[in-house]
Amino acid sequence: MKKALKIAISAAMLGCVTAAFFGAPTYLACRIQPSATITFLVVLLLTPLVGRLFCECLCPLGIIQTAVNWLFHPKTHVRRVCTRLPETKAQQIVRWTVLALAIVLALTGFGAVAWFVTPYSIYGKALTLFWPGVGLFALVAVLAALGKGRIWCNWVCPVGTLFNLLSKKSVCVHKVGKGCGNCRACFAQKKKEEEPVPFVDGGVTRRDALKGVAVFAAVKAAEKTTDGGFADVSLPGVPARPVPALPPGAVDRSDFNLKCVACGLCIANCRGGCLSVSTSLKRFGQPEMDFRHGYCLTGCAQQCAKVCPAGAIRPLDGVERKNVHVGHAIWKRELCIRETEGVQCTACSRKCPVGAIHVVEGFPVVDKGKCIGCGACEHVCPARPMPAIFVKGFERQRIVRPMDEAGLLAEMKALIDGGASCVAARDGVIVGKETGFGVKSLLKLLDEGKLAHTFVVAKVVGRAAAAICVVGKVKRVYASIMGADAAALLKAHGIESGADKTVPKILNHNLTASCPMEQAVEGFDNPVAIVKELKEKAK
Amino acid sequence: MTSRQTKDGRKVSLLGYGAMRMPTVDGGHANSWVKTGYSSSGIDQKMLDAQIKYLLDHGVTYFDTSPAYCRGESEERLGRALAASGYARGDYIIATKLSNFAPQQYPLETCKKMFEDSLRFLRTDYIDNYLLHAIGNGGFKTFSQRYLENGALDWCVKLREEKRVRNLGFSYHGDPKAFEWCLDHHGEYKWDFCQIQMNYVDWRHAKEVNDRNLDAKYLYERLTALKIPVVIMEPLLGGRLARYNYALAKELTPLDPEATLAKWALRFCGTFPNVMTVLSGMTRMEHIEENVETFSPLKPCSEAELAALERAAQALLKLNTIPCNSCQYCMPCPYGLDIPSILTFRNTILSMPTSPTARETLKMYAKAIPEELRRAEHCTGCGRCNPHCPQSIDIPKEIAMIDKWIDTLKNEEAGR
Repeated sequence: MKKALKIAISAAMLGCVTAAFFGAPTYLACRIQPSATITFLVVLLLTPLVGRLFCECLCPLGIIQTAVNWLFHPKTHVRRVCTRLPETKAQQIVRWTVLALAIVLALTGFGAVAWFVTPYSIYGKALTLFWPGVGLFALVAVLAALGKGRIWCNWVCPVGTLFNLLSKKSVCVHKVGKGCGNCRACFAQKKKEEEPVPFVDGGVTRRDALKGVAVFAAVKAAEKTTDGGFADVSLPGVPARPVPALPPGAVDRSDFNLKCVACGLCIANCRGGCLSVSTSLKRFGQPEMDFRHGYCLTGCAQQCAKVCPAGAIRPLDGVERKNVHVGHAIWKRELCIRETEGVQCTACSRKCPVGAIHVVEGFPVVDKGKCIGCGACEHVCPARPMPAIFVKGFERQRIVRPMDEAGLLAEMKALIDGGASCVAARDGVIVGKETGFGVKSLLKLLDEGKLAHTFVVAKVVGRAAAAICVVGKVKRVYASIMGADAAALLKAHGIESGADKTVPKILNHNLTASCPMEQAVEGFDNPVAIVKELKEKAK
Repeated sequence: MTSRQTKDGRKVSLLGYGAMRMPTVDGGHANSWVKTGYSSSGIDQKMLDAQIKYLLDHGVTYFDTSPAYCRGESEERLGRALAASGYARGDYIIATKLSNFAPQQYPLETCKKMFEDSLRFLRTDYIDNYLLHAIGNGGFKTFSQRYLENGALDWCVKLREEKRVRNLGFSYHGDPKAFEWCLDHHGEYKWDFCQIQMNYVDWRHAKEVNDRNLDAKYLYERLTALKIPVVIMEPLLGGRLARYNYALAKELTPLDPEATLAKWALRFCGTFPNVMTVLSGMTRMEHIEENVETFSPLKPCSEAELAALERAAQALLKLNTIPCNSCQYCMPCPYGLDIPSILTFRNTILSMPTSPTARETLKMYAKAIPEELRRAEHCTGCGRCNPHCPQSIDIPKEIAMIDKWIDTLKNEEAGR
């Protein structure tokens, strides 16, 4: 019964943890990670009572070692007793040295290296195919297969050592019978020659692997003479960033480096595909942005923060999320294909999701006030072997605070005066701006789904515009000129409205008759019907 | 096999083989990415030999190639297959082209070398039908530089006098001025045939698709008035009229539930009496078998069927697809993009009766263009592809639109 329970818990835990790396929302499982979370404390407090609960049932490496043991030595009882055997001298020396080393590393700012030998980190790195992690993982499995129980837990793992210490006086643990002289004869099988452990170490970092990739061979000036075929492509190199770019929400870099346990969950769950493992000694195994395969998506609901078990990446609320700047782009003239190949390339400015890169006289100019450091420009830059535009991370991420009500209204009014026909803002941030014919531009915003829960400022608001706002679920409307019937319509649907000037009727441009749009919707009462009519008319 | 006549009185099959989409060892067509990878054309010579033999056995006698096709391999491969077929040189008609597209190929000497190379690759000492390739592509000035200023056209006429070329013609895409110029000078050059893009969409709607185009109806009627036989290219719009498409099937299937969409499109072209040959770039043996059947003999379309085809054309236009026929003229993109696959992917999604979810679309995108670096986002906007496009698509603009659309989907997916 007890065994079945243990197997069930172990299987569930392993499943949950693994699934988390493939995008399943198993947050609870992730938070069992030995970080300063409540769950950890609970496990810690339980350990003196029930023994090494963590190593046995919760830790993915522990579970896998048990499984490997069982597979390779189904008949021996080594598996069962090994974790309870008295420690040998050598074992004690090794495990305490590792723990001490880990503490020293952590205290001297090399915590990332120490974290790297913890079970979740090793397992995570193996799953995200970070080769040193895969190597370590293989080593753990091989050690277990060699038949001496959970050797990693008992000899190396600093977390294991800690739990071992705590469980020394545990009440529920099995004890080896009194007569045990630590002869180790219970390792049953015929004693084999000590085999050297094959160290399956990829040992190759991704950066090394890339060195072998051919240099980008762009076809130069000579025109092609045949059709079809493909030019060679290669990934760009990773620029030496003065400061690494971190995922949004890792607000303070040193704080992040301290908290991050390098489990790799954020890397596995990154939707933009832009998180990668750092190979720097001080941040070994921690995530950092690498834009070769993607860039940080502005619309992403911060999957990295959602899965972070250590609280190193902070979930940002809607407005903050949209306005967090993690770094900014820097352009290097000598690398740009504009200089090297004489090609008028516009990739970076076209790709920028916030419109922060302007092409001025053929040169890309980064508007650093707008640039959020998402890396889209670096990702698409065609220059090889190094991209000509790259992101420099911030030591402290900048969260641009949204404007207050009065400031926002003033800003939007200024846009209207500057020629816009309508502007929409949500949560203090301007989300849409259109020029051109008033009703048509509002319809465009409606079609793009930009009106929901916004504050809309428009030049003229008649019944037609008001109906669009109602259908678009606008929160508040402000107009330079508003028709009285429009205000009534808005009020009837619970939408706040305000105006510089209210008139009984909206007239046409020559002020000779009523506005044609207003005429078109005359007689319609239902906003939905009005919008339908307007759309017909717009065609 | 229904047949027609060339201007010099030779019998020619109404179905012709277009050597632009040769089969590859992985079952795709040359230039496709599958397995053979992006680096080799991987043309399946054994299959090609079998296909050419099959075609000749079934009375197909017209073979159209160009020095530019299939990364420049088409002529040589076709020459090998024809030689292996066991048929005599007089049994088939070879059409190839003066494909001097790049400025470095404008000089007459280079053109002459291109012709000699064609003869060598095709293992023959004369060409039956020789074409000025895609006149009007790149504008009238380019046409003038390619054929008039360098004396290439006069040299071609001389080739015809020497009987090294039996019939002289031109294929037309692009600037109408080039087409009109050629026809205005018909008295002087005596064109033996002309190759135009014709199908039931371009028949009345080519101008609608792109203002620069001329409707195929106009082209056909103009040529017929001058008694110039017409060779048809893109009868299936690079497969766009052959692949399943709900909009097309809805109009056409009720009239003949068993007929494939490709059959409909080919029958349309064959209906017109001044059409000498309908070229089809058949990649797979199944395509060949199906098309040979369609033409043995060809059943012309009735008035009611033509009306249904017109309705289908209108339905297709409503989808707002990009008029890319995957001809690969834009390739290779200097920055490695797989342009035809990107544009075709967009069309595939637009042609579905209901649009798939963001996640499904992204999955399909990754499958359609498996290498990340060949996807739309890596377009530099340099525009070097544009002058090559016979359909005059503004490629960077379309690619940017597709990239933006994909980005929206990605954000939508990540925002959940």
